[in-house]
Amino acid sequence: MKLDFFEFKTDPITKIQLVKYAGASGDFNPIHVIEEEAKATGLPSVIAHGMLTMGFMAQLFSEAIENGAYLRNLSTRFTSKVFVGDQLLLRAEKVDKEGKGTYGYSITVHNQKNELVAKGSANLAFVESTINI
Amino acid sequence: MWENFIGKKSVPVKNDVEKGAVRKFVEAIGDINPIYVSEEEATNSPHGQLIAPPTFPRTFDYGKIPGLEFPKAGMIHGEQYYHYYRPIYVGEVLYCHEELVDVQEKEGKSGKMTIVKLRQFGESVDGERVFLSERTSIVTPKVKEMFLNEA
Repeated sequence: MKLDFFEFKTDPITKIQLVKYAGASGDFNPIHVIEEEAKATGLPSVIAHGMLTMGFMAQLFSEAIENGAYLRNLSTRFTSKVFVGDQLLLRAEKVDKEGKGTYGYSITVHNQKNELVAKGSANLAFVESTINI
Repeated sequence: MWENFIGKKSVPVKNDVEKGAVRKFVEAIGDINPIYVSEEEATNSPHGQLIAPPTFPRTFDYGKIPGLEFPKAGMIHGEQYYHYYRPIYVGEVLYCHEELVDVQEKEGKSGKMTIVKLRQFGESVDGERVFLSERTSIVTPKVKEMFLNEA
């Protein structure tokens, strides 16, 4: 398994996905699901949950996690809003040379207009039972 | 107003890391990894059991800091940090609470923004810390005004 670089593109975000995420996460902030309430707070339309974007960021490491890794840290700053229809391109690039069994990454999330919507970092470690990767 | 609650904590709440809740959560994101949903594959993996995805602590109940109220709509999520001491296991019980750690006002494009920082903690039944997180939220002047009018 390569650990230097991870990348994936989401499907376009749909309203139903935001409704599903609201239900699954318990985050019923109406700005994510009800147009009128989003507009009442000054937004042009509903926006995606920041935590959904962060969920995609964690998904970058899914294959490593399946193979015995877990995240030690995951950190993000949401820099721009994510709307219905947006398609996100996520990238994680290894920044640490040789940590003590951990791997550091910088993460970027861009939308289809190449605007940065989130950036962050992560630190990956492997559980002890992982013999070789 | 919110500044008065800095340092205040909620009483820890018992949270079960439920298999069905994990499945719904990963389905909503689209991160349907066998390590989160397939008992058989998880048992044969280095983890040895099902684990929860990294952002799953979003679903936990952290209790309520007595007397502290925030706008029900319109708070913007600015930053989020997680630290995990180990993976979170499906089927385990975690006691979770939160603390208000900081409140600051900053001049923004549309006036005075309030920046609120809450820190969350998850501990095992044995009192072992499993994760901590920090959520930074932004309250715009408009949302704050709506909140004050409702109160």
